[in-house]
Order: sequence, then C-alpha cells, then structure tokens
Amino acid sequence: MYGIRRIHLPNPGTWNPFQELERFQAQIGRGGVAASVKNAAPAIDVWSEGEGLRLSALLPGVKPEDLEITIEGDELTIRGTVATSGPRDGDRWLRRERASGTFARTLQLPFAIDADGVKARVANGVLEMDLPRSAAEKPRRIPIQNI
Amino acid sequence: MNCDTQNDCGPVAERATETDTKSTTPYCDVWEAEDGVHVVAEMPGVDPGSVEITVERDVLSIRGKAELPRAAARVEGRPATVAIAYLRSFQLSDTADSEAIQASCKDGLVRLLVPRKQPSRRRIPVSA
Repeated sequence: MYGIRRIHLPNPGTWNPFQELERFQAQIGRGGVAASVKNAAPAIDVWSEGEGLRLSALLPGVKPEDLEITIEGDELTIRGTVATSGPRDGDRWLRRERASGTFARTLQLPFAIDADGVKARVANGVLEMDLPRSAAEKPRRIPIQNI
Repeated sequence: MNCDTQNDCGPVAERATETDTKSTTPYCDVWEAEDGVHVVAEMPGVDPGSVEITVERDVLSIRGKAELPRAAARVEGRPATVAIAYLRSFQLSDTADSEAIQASCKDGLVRLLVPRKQPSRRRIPVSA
C-alpha cells in the first residue's frame, strides 16, 4: 500500500492583500490564517516501469542537501526539511497555505529494491527516482530437465 | 488506499488522466513587511524561464508551466510526462507599486515582492 494523498486546492479567485489587511489581522489574532497550513509531507506518485519502479515526489522549496532517502528491503523512506519562509518580527501573515518543517514518509513497496542501483535526482522542486528490483526477487525461469 | 502497480496512481498523475495539460492553483504564502507584500508560490517542476508574471489593471497573475513524469504504459502512445499549468491571481490595491515588483524562481518556488508606492505629496500654490 502506498501513501497516496489527495491535494485539495483552494478556490483560485482573486484576493486583495492590502484592502483586506484588517480582516486578516483579526484572523491572525485568533490563529485563523495559520490554521490553513497543510501537512509538510510531499505528494508522491509511484508506478511500475520495466522490472522496477519509478517515483515522483513534489518537494517545492526543499534543497537536495535537506533531503535524506533510505531504502531497507522493500521499505523506502524520504525525510526532509521544508525551509521556513515568512514574516520576521514586526511583519504580518496575510495568507499561509504552505507547509514548513520536517517531514518523513515511508512507503512499503511491492518488492525489495536493489539499493545500489537506485538513481535519485532533484530538479526545480521535483524528486525523481528509479528503483530497480532486487535481483534476488526477480522472477526466475526454472529449467525443466528431461529425465 | 491500495495501488495497482501496473497503473499510474497518485495525486500528480490523477489530475491529468483526462487531458494532457492540467491547470493547477499553487499554494501561496503571503505576508506584509516593511518593504511591501511578499508572496511565495509553490510551483514544483516549473522551469524559471517559463514563469510569467503579469499585471493587468489591478490583477497580479503568476503563471508557470511544468512537465511532470508519469506512467506512460497505461495508455498506448501516451507521453511519459504530463504538462501542468500553474496560475494564481491576486488583486492589488492602489497602494501597490506594480511597476516595481521583484520576482525570482528557485527549487520550484516563485518569490515576489510587491512594494508599496511611496506616498507622493505635492504642495499646491495658492494664488492671492
């Protein structure tokens, strides 16, 4: 079973950051603006390709050096940190939808992975991985002896 | 939720099963600072060169395009990537200086600073 998370996006519409400042100020006082913060765990797709798996994870704002990937048998864990960006002292939130902080997601894969053959790359906030199936778990053809 | 490994699954591919291009509204952080209003928009996969920021009348729009990988085998001839079109719009007030907006893009994040207009004060001479 993979951890699949659906994204529920806010209504696009338009919004006036300056004229509605007073309303947001009142919300901040009640913690209303911060209440909409989503979970820092990334959205992940996994699919079979050839004899292995491919993985794609959306990690906007996560630097490669802040990412740690471990594989143990058929278990893949992605840990990382989404750097905080936001107001300094004296500044005020107007809208807070992004998640920040540390996250960890563990996926149970359908078979063991050859950890030495794994390729991972991050570009523009997207992690892509090639996960080859462990040779020990690949289907083997059993020769039939003519006795 | 179980996943059939023969098919693609998950939030990214799911949004793009019907058409080859899918429109998405990015998550945004917005805060007010001394130098103006800061906006950070999440646009994973977006190439900095594809980001387009426009101001039309008083509406600020942030657009970006991305090609995200997906399983190609599910439908014969289907490309191995899906095109995502990001769009988010904000209405600017009269105090926003739309001529001085600064923007940058890195690691799938688009950052904007919308400075405030400097208050203009003119002395009107009064004739006798």
